[in-house]
Amino acid sequence: MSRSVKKQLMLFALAAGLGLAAVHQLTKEAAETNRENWSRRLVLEAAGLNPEEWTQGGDLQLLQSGHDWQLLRGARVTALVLYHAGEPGYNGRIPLWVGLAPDGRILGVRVISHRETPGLGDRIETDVSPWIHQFRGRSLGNPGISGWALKQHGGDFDGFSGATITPRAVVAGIGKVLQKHERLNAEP
Amino acid sequence: MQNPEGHTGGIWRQNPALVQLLGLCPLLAVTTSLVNALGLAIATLFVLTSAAGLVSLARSWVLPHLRLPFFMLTVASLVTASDLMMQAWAFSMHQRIGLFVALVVTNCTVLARLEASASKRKLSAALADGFAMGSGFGLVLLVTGGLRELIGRASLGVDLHLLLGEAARGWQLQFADSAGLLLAILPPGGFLLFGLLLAGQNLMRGRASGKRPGAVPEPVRIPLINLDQQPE
Repeated sequence: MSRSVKKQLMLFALAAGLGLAAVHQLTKEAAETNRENWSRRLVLEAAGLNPEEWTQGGDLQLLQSGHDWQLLRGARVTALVLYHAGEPGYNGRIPLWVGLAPDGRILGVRVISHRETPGLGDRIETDVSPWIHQFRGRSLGNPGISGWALKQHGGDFDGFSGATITPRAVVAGIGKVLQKHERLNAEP
Repeated sequence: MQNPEGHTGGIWRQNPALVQLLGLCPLLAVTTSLVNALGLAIATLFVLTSAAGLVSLARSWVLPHLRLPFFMLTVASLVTASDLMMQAWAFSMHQRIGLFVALVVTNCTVLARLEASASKRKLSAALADGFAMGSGFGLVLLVTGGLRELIGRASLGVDLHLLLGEAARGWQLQFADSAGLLLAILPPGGFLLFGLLLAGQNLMRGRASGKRPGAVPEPVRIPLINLDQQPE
């Protein structure tokens, strides 16, 4: 390669790098705030709370450890919101946040992201269908682990018509979170 | 290549999607609703126009055999920049179509226009061509997205507020409580509908040029990138 070619390639790279660094600087704060607000909103919803009522510095604190969250009032843990990387759905894994009360009851479940078919599999979203609210109040034991499946597979939970894989992945994911939580609690 | 209609051929006569058949992957993947189509249309328009401007400005200076790396770097940087900006200023939209915005970089319309037009024209002409091509592509996105949403979900403009702000929340239309014909939203429906649009546009162009309907329109020369061009 001739000198001029090398010089020009380096200049291209330098210009592109500087330009992108500038845009990154400009947008990074807003993007970070967006991501935080969005996670907090989902976590609060998974804990069965109204995100609008939460205020920074109020009596309800959110503590993050890894992907899991703890909700504290004073020193008392009022809820755990546990992350699950997701069971395979129709189009990739469906990651979840499952909110649990101290007694192990489910406070709420939220799908974090998914690429299921619009109009079929997207009924796992709260904006589209109330389907995911059916898990509220359930726990491991209500039903037992064999019941954590769709009715059509001998379990306890409603699916929805037209899609089997999607609701099955969500139910299985919740079941796994509950089992993992129980195992961790059983350890001394 | 001289454009017979000046710099605005991209909107109709040389529409990148309907005539040149470029960029169909993002087109078919994203157009499941009007708001998704609008998101990709804006991103493509922005990247195409600004890349055309940059390439045109640098055209006399970039070494001929470095122009492809230069095009790719320009497009990739602009796409990354728009991705970052969406994360900051249109976050919920980014969560829905972020993946496809990243794919603007592979939209062959962009590279084709840079090679065929922007790298050979002065700034104003390059910008006009980029804008026309971007608008033409965007219009096809909007029509396809609107029709697919209308047929597939019996609604139009759901979630527009994600892109246009809270004021747009009331703009959506919902027809009866019909569930819609789901096929339109699934990939096969996208292909069928796009095929119909293609045929319709062909027919109209044929009529406008005085040929009998259904006549094969004169072939549009799609500029190819000459990979054999050797450095001097």
